Amino acid sequence: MTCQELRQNFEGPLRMDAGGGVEAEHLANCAECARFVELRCELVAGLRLVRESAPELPAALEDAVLTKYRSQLAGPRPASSFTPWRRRLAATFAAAALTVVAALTFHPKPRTDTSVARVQTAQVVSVPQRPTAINIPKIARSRPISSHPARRERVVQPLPAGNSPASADFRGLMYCDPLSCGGAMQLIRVQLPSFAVALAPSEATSNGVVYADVLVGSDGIARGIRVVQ
Amino acid sequence: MASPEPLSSRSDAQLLLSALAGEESAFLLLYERLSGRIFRYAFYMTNSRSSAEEVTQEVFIALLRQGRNYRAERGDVAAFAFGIARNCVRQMERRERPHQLIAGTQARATLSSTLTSGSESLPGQMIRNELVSRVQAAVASLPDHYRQAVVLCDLCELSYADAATRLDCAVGTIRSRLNRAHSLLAQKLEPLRTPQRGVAAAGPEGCVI
Repeated sequence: MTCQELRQNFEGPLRMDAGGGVEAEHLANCAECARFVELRCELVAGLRLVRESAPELPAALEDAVLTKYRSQLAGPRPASSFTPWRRRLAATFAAAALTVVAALTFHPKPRTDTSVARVQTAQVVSVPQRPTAINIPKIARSRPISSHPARRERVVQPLPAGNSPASADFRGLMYCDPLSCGGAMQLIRVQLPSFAVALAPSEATSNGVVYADVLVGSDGIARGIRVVQ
Repeated sequence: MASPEPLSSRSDAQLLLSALAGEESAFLLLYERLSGRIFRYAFYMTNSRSSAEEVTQEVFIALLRQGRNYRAERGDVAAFAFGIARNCVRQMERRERPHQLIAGTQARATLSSTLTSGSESLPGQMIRNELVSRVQAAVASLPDHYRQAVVLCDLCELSYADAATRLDCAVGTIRSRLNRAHSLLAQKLEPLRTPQRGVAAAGPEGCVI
């Protein structure tokens, strides 16, 4: 018998016996295998001790399990005490929701000059339907003009009424033709002293200022102006 | 509808169905059949009596909750219960890692049982307990797949085929894992029997101070 054969014999279930016949003969002559078998036997003994030292199943456990069984049958399902993944999932969702709420609540809003924005929005919609004086057909149809009637009404309403004869049309501030004044324009309402637009003080407001709409091209240069009050 | 078959002759699967239907005696018999093995498995895996009790309890509660998911074609009820026990032990280990092997109350309980039992001499019992705790520690230090094989085959005394069913692997895999685990265990336990070199020489005369 070779060492390998002997060790293969010990590969199966643990054995306490060192074997007989050929195995014993080999073990008597091979110190290495004798040590191997000795170690295995000690391991078997140790595992048997562990097996024997296992405590008995406590009787109280049966009562506890039975109580749970009865409560399970009697009432609605109690909350699981061993589903940590569900709890973890719920906690994750709760944490995510809290983070979102906190971010929305405490995140500083970007500073914007709202007054300018509002004025610009309001003024864009007050573009006249027919800017005939300077004859720029694209301006009246430019993109920023709101085509929604409700919005136009709502925004136009608070603007001062253009009852002045001067407010009828735009006056050109520079030479303008479809080639040089192409593209969308922006309409900005400004306050100007009445003398700046050569109006009589009686036509101006009480503090001597007039409201005027200025057409500004995409290059930032004013193209036209009209006095609205 | 009352079953004409006596309880004791029913299979585990039938008992589980009856228990789910509300038959308490069927549940008790199923508990009687499975609880010992599950408790021992949990004890060998956790080395803690209280953890083993907790696992056993959880397994039976889970059996009641998930019993309807049981499919007989995938294995017997014992394998199903072992699967639940395995998951419980894993969850517990994850929760309570690093696991203490024989510590605190467990060690005190062992010592107290040693002192109160009169069947064996005190030194003999202490040596025995020491050896048991060393073997337990060695088993616990094995990689999980080796430990499962040792616990199921060597400690719970399941056959290779049953262990393979429990672990959902081939019998050959169990055999090779077990062989490797035995070699590792033998290596781990070898220092216990080898006299420590240098200790004998370090007598009072060998002491420097």
